[in-house]
Amino acid sequence: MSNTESTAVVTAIASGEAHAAASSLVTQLRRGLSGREPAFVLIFASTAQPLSEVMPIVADAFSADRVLGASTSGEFTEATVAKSSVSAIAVAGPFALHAGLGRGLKASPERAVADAVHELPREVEGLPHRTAILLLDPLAGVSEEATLLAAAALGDDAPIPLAGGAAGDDLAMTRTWVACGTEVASDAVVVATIHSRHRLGIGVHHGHVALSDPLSVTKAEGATVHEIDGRPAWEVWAQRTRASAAERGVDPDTLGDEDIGAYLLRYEAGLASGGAMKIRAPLSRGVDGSLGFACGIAQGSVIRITESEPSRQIGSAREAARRAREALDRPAAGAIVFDCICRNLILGDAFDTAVRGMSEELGDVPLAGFETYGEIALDVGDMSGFHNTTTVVLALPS
Amino acid sequence: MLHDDAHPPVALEELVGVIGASVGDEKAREVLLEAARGLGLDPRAMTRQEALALLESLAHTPGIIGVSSRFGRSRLLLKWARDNLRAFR
Repeated sequence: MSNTESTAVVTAIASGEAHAAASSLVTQLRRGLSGREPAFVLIFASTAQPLSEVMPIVADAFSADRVLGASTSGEFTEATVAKSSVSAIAVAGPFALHAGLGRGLKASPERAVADAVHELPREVEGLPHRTAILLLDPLAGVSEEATLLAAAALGDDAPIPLAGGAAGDDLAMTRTWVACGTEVASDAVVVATIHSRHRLGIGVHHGHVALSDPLSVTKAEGATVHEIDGRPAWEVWAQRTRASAAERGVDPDTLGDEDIGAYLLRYEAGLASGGAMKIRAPLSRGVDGSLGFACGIAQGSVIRITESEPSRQIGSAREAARRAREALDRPAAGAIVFDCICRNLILGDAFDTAVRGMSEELGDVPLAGFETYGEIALDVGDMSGFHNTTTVVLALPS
Repeated sequence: MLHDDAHPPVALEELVGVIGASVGDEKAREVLLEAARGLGLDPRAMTRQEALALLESLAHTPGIIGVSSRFGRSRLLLKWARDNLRAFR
């Protein structure tokens, strides 16, 4: 890494059989990099191209310790929005990435995060800025907990910003994966630090508004909400969203198990926090009518069911990109985007308008990202870092 | 660093902002008030030491309340230490 070299950001996307798709990504990235070695590469793979098959090929082509990955529910670059594909972003320039993976996230988020961060350096000579990327399995149900633990482990004495996403599985809601080099795991967290010459910019925004009046979580354990206002959680969810869903021709009472995940992601929970709403995504419905969330929901919490409309979603993506750009001290060279799958569900074919809007807002730069089950953005002064329904933009400085 | 006579009192609402970001303001207010009562603290005006002790008392609660209390306590401590350093510059 030369201290004077400029930033190069290259994106790629491929579909089809996993090995062929991975080889195509490597070819596209190599061509775009024009002989330069990337400081890091991120891979976002649908369930059609399992990370366990994609990562060895990409890690072999580049340096394995510079390649991270997550499974997804949708993939995109600045040029293409896709499903059943794998997207990638390679970044060359004055950056250095160090990463670790921790397992057993559900049983002990503390241990998993500690295992992921314990070999990460605090400083890299010539690269004074440090930003963290988190990729985690949201089905472990401890996403906020893991985010706060990682933030504390990385910089309780000198806080650093964090960005990242919760892996997806094409709305199956059964198993998600994260990867660090050739190590691919479920129930795990990847923590990476990017050391850079100039600071990176993080922007986050959501476009949801309250649909219901306040509701009390009357029975909850960990990430499972059993009862709301003394009734099974799903029963309340269906009742309070029925009228809104009917406008789209959907009846919550006739949904099959395969449709529940997408339905819940359109109607997420909002926690009142400092005059705004912190969104929490229900991911699954239990046989007893309970709802499983991506992080802990304390019994006694007061929530509102929320919804959004397409125009708000397009506007919020652009706003997230604007905030990320303004956090830089120089023009953006590209961006990594962690975007809630609910936004794709709401926008449908208009989702590519939102992606184009982000690229434009950043100065028509390349970007790549994936549709998540949760987003991570924690700036230095923030007290919480796990989000739902948002777009998180991590802008890379030129 | 936390000499109480040198700083304005801390209201419980300030701590609601700390852990409410993770659990929502209503739940944060409920657990903080209950803990303050248990410790015999005046929720309208606490010293910094008392505010930190209040968060510490919640730090071992299982799940998101405990994690957010631990995180919030360490970040508040850091923020106040930095405020103090600025005051001396």
